[in-house]
Amino acid sequence: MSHVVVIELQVKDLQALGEAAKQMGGELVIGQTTYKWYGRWMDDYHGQDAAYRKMNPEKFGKCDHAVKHPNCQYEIGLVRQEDGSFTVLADEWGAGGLSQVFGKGMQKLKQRYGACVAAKSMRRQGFSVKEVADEETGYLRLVCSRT
Amino acid sequence: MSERIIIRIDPSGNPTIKVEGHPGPGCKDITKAVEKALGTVVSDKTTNEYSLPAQAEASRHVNC
Repeated sequence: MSHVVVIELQVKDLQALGEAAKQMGGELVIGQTTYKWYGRWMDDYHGQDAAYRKMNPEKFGKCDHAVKHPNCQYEIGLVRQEDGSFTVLADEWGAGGLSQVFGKGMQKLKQRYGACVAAKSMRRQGFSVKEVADEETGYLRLVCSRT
Repeated sequence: MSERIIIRIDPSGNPTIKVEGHPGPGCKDITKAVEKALGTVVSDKTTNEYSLPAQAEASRHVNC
């Protein structure tokens, strides 16, 4: 081993996000500018990860692209940022179904997206990629090798 | 010599990349593209192998 890099994930690659959504039974809809949510900001959650801390509630429900899933009443919104990355927005109210499918904070989707992006990039460099899921820890491990 | 890169993605989606079998500063070139694709680097630590000359490392692998 010669170096170790820790990365904070950003959603930048829509093709990879579409692949991740598809692998989880969902679909990325390019150009869908609204996403389904409760429809009205209730101002009833004030945790550090509350959406209003990052975005004006007047913009809730608006997006550049969206992810939908047949088992979810609500949808995920993707909002393009100035640096080209996308913020992932979702109303996690239970009946909307998103947390059950994509995990709290849409973390399962983000993890799957990370695996798709990493595998795509490494294959492009001539590496073969093998994915191993550790069900005990919840980690995904990609073993990339090239001779 | 075989190059191996291990990418671990934690349950919240944040990745860690480890390079194996590629001594010297050249190892950073291999991961540049995947780092950029995944997001923002928050930590980058070199290991002992990083400072080894490529040839010395190659023979060490052959002798193993």
